[in-house]
Amino acid sequence: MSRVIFKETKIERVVNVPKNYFWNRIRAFGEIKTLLPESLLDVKLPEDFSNTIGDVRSVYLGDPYPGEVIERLDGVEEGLSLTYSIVDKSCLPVSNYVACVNLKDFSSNKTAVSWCGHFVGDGKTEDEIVDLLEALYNLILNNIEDQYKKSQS
Amino acid sequence: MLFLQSHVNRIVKVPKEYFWKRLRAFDKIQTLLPKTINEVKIPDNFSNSPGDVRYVYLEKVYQGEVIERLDGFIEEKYMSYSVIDKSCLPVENYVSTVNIKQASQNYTEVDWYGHFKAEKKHKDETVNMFKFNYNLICDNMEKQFNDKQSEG
Repeated sequence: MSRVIFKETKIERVVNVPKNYFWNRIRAFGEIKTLLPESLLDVKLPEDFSNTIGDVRSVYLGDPYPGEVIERLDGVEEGLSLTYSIVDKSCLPVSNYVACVNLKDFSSNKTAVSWCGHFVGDGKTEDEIVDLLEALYNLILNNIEDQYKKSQS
Repeated sequence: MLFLQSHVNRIVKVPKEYFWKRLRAFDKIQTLLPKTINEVKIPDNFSNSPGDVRYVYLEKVYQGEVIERLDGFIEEKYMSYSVIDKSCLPVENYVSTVNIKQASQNYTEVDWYGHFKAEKKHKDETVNMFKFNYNLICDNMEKQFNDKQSEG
């Protein structure tokens, strides 16, 4: 068996928005910048982007890892789960990154979210990457809550 | 390198619970592809949870090791897994998802997708190889289910 550095980054929390709202926001794969407006410099979509599985988005990050990340929508279980991955080379020092976001109704206005990413580290920065990804997952959830509140007021 | 997709949509003549149990047993993949897989090795700390890996050794067409990782699942509905690190297959960034739903009491509708990158010269052979294997797993599952029913 090969020696590979497997890492996991995971958050589980209750988000104060209805499940359908949460689902619609993450399912809009081309709209990721609306969920991370201050973290993403730009998002580019291919002309033939149709928000179906197999589609990719090119995400541009600033510090601490400036550059491009190409993410692919790999699978969807409607209203319950979404899988995406980083393909090709990216500005992040990871390979084989695949993330799954699983949702459950917690109550009529709350959603239980499990956001889990797995990747192969480079042997130097993986703990830092775990912290970075967890911070981004949490920021997305915070922003969804804030934006939902604003849409209600 | 091209972005490619393999997709199989079909009805499998086994109950959904049976299909799910067989698919979800991530370490038992050799039972579903007994003639294709030479050996499967499982780490000591394997617990059949997301993040766990299986080391699959192929004999035919592409010989060597493929490390597959269970990335996530929704019970009895959906599973995703990927090929990580270097492998003996001429593909990169392979991620597969399997959606299942009950078609009738004894039939299951399966959507099995694989997304990956491959050189143009490997396009047809890789797309077809994955489709062939998805179908072979489904065929073997039907056969093994029938055998089990006749034994009972």
